[in-house]
Amino acid sequence: MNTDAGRRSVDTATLVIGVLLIAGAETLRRDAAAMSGGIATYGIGPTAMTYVVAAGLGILGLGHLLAGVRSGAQEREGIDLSAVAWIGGAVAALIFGLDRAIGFIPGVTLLFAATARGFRNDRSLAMSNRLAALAALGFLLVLGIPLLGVALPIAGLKPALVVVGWISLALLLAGLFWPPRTQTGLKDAAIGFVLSLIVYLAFTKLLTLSLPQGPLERLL
Amino acid sequence: MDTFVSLGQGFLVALEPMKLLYALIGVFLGTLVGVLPGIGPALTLALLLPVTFKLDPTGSLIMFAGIYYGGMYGGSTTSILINTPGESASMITALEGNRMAKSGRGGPALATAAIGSFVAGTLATIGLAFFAPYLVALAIKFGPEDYFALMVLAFVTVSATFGDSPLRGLTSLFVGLALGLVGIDILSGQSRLTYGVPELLDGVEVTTLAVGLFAIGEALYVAGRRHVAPEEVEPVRGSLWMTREDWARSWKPWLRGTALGFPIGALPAGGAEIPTFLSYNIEKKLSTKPEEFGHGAIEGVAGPEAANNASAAGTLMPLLTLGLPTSATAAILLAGFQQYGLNPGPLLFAEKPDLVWGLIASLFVANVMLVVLNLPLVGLWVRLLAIPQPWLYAGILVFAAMGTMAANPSPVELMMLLIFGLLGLMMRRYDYPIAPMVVGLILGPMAEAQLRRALSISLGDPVALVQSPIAATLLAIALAALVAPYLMKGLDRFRATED
Amino acid sequence: MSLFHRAAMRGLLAAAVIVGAGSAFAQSDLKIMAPAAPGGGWDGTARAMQQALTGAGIAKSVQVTNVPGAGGIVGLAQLINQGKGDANQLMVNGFVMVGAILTNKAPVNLTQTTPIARLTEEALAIVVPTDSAIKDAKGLAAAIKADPAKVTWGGGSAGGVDHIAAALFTQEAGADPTKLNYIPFSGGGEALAAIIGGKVTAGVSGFSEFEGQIKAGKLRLIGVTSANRLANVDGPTIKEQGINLEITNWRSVVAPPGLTAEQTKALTDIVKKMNDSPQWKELLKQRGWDAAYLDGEAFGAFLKAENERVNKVLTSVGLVK
Repeated sequence: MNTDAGRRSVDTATLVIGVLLIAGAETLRRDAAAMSGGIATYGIGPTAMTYVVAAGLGILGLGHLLAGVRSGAQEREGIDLSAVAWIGGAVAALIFGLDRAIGFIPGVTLLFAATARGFRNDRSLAMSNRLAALAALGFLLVLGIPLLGVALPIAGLKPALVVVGWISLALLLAGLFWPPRTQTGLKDAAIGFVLSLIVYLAFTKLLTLSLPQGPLERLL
Repeated sequence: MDTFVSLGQGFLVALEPMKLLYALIGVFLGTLVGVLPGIGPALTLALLLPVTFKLDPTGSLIMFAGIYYGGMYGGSTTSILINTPGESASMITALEGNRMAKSGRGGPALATAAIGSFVAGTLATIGLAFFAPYLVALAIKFGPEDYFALMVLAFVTVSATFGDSPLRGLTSLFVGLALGLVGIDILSGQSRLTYGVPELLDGVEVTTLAVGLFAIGEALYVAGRRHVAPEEVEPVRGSLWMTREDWARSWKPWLRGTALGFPIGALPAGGAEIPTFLSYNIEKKLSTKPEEFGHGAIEGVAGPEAANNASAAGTLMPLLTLGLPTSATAAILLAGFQQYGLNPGPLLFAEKPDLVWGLIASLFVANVMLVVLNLPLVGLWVRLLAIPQPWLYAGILVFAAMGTMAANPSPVELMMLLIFGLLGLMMRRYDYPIAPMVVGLILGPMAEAQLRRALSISLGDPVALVQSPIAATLLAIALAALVAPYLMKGLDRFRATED
Repeated sequence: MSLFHRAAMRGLLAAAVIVGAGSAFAQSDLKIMAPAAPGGGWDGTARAMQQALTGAGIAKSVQVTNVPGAGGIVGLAQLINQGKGDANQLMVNGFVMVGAILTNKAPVNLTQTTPIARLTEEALAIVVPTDSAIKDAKGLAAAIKADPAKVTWGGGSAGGVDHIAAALFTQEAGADPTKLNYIPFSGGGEALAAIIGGKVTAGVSGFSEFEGQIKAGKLRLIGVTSANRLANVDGPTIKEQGINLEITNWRSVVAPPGLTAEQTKALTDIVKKMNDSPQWKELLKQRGWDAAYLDGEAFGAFLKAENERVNKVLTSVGLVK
């Protein structure tokens, strides 16, 4: 397959996926083991399917480990992470923004502009990309810690997380309009704004569907 | 003969100019709203239900029919053009349809979907008009063990979507099955894998997974690889219209799709997804060009689309004859009926024949209207792909997020969308097929529930699973489908050694 | 089918309002939350209230919001956590929520709300296929007593009112309720098909779900679970056949916690006025709902009693530990 195969004889990615699958299988097994019996069951109970899927995932995980060792290192073309940061950050910004009641139109405008920016990604704009990456990292904290917090409740962290969220939002905005692409950024945002406005009006006025409201939407 | 007379009277109602206008408005609105990902025909109907209240019962039912078919067609449009299935039943359409669109054959893909829907819708409506009572009697005979056998058969067909590595395909399928475990277990009322998050109690929504994996995952992947492998999308290459070859390759899949979709749709727990899986698998097996599958084979659009639409007409059968709402859409139609104090069921045909036949006739009318309205629009739809890439994908993301926001208002749902999007990116990067995961999420919970119901009724006796003739037949077909390829291979090898 | 059901739920979530969106409404406005998707029973009640309240001129404007999820728990949590002290907010709830809170070990509870009033109730019906050998409640009870496992019940979701009724029937028949063989179906259509098709021994659900099939002769009515016979229904109650089962699927309204006595009284007055209005009576007739108005302390006591009863039943079938 490739020339470096001799040096690194295993495919790390496949091995990692294998380990993740086995970890997933263990999570399922634990969940089923923790279930407390329950109602009278004739036939099979609620844990059977979980065990079957866990066993399947475990076997597939082992299969990955085997394949990873056997196939040798694979070369894969890289992924431009800053583009991923722009788009992932945009969706995360929308989630955070809606949670903070910034409203549908600003949230969607931001989503549109940042996604478009991800597709315009130009490596020469390193500074702007760095801001986006920082923003994405910030959102990762804001959205990720409560998720982990389900398992490990962390009290008193919420206000700090909200501050991190706002800073990330600001970073994303700054990245969007960082010169010399200010004009393109504004153009994208303008299109996003018009689109979200039309959608908002169509949904709420014609279809009587409720979309998240913020200060701007209450004026409409 | 009575049926003909009644149907004729139905047409007299449905063909009044005002009624035609209602049908046209319905088709137009339905297509417009149905285009939004995450907003399938059921939600489209629910959203537009209030619009129809202002009309008289017949007019409103006719508009219903138009919205219904329009919404279904809208769902496949987004599947084909922007790889964003509007609903779970058009997921399979995205597999081949989007490949076609990307290589400039979006026109034929949309056309075969529209005409296939028309053919299937028309044939299925004829079936509805003439065979409803007999088919429903059969459908009622299906017990949990028979459904389980049907789902086993559907599982066997998943391998058609695996691509070249069974290991990666099975992995994708099992992750989908694991996602299907999340939420309240319907049979025991206990929660699985919810970790105290109340939003997870209702489980992972199929459209959230599909939109996340397909639309968001793709946006991330295309953006991330712009410098390595810029995506080249040609809106139109060759004819915008279906060529002679396209027709030749489409008409049989339409008919086969209809034959699968209509009866399975008529089963109270059959659904629209299973026939699309079966149809995709059959078309792949029967195609003269199986190598095109995965790269934009027109049969892979024609068959599943026909199956999807035929099953929609099939679901109307138990609704109209027995009053059983067996799909989301049917449940909303039932709500619509009840607004006028009508109770679909055994007595509806006898008590309100004009209304029932008017509805059936208007299904035909809506079907025609859909083709008339949409075929000229194909050219316009395809032009969507000419939008500059940044705006096109930004628009796709907006629509995907919006569909989720409109369908489920919680941030947890959007978070899942993001996580599934990132998962979709990784799966593309490491070459894992995406469809099996969605199939696993759809089929896993259904199969589990039916299996457990069957075993609960039989008090745990597994023999019950094969005792019913229906179940035994279906399982035999599944077994044959599973081992036949190996037998063939063995036979070939045998022949080869003999030579 | 769970998928259909879920799709239907989502499909109907249309008019839902985003959690956490702002709440700057004028004081004179009333908000009614349906903790379920549009189209379902609670949503229907909320929208009927909206119609009656504005129609009778009792409230200037009424906004219905939908917060679906987990048998109403998501909505209940929002009412308790975000609605605290909001004297313009009501939430529709009912019997099903009592069970959902218990089975899901929800962190919130109905006792945390301010009870306002019970509005309606619907009797359940127990049915068998027409060709079944079981003719009446006594026959069904005898079959259960012989072997509860062999009598399979088809109905709605586990832990719901149908399930509880089946458990109570088993208990009253003199059999062990832990041996109940109850098979939940997620869609009304699927359950009906299984009952008509004879896949289960008996079916239990809201009377209206079976009405058409009973009239058409496809199902035999064993009995209704109300205290008295239903008007216009030719069928006995379960109770008059010697099985002491009385259960109805009731719906009520509650308000957020933290209200003053005056605020509670004001809300109760509004609901009482609505209940007495001709518009509401007309709506009840249209929808076929039975009025079951109960307010004040009597309603609070009723809630508590139902909570205890449900807890006991669910514990006996093993759904609550």
